[in-house]
Amino acid sequence: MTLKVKMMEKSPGVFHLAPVGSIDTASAPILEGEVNRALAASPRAMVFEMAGVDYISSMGVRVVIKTKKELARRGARFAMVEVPPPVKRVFEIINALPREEIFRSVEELDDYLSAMQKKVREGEG
Amino acid sequence: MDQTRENTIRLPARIENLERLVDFVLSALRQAGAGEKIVADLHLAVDEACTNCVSYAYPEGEPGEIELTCRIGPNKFEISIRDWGRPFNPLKTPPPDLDLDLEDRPIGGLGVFLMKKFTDRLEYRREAKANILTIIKRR
Repeated sequence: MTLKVKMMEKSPGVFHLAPVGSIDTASAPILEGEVNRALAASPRAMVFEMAGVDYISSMGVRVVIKTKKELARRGARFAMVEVPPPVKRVFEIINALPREEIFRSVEELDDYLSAMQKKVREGEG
Repeated sequence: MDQTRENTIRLPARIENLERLVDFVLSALRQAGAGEKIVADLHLAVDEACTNCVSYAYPEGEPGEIELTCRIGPNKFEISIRDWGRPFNPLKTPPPDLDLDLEDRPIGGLGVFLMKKFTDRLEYRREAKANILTIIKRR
């Protein structure tokens, strides 16, 4: 199956995974393998950059949900950015992701995280 | 005159054949001039149905076959997925509880739910020791 996943640690502990292709039954384990590699590095956040995903099935959705659950269990954050409409539709139908975890772009996510960090700093001050 | 065109493919029910099965349907739909929304919806529905079949129809170590029949009519697309495995009616699968928090929701049970959402009708019958699931989508 045609799925490639690029992983980058864009800032300390923040791992971006960019899958390109279809996330289906045969290819979902490829994404899961990359998620496990990132989890082994004890991330504080994981971001799925979805712009290159043309299709997702329930097996792909399972990987996303499992990742989100595992990160929540560890007190780490999860977000998805640049989700194409056909992929977003699947998540919306199964009511799987709260709106605050989907961002239009990496820049929008960065702005959100900066605002959150500022709030935390102000709370500490 | 019935203008329905019918194509069939039969392959061993294995995960590595899923792509060929799905491509068979997508190619038939595109040749028939189906719009991309219909192609995308049926991609998901056929993928989910075939995944269920190759994953659960046959006991481990006893691989069987899966057969897809694509009927393209003037008003609708019909795709039948047939296996000769244990009797299983996917339409009786309970729907997932979408109101539960994601953290409390069991992972699974989504495939049939998505199939129902992306098609106009699903029909199941058991016939001559075969499970036959038919996916129907209007043009």
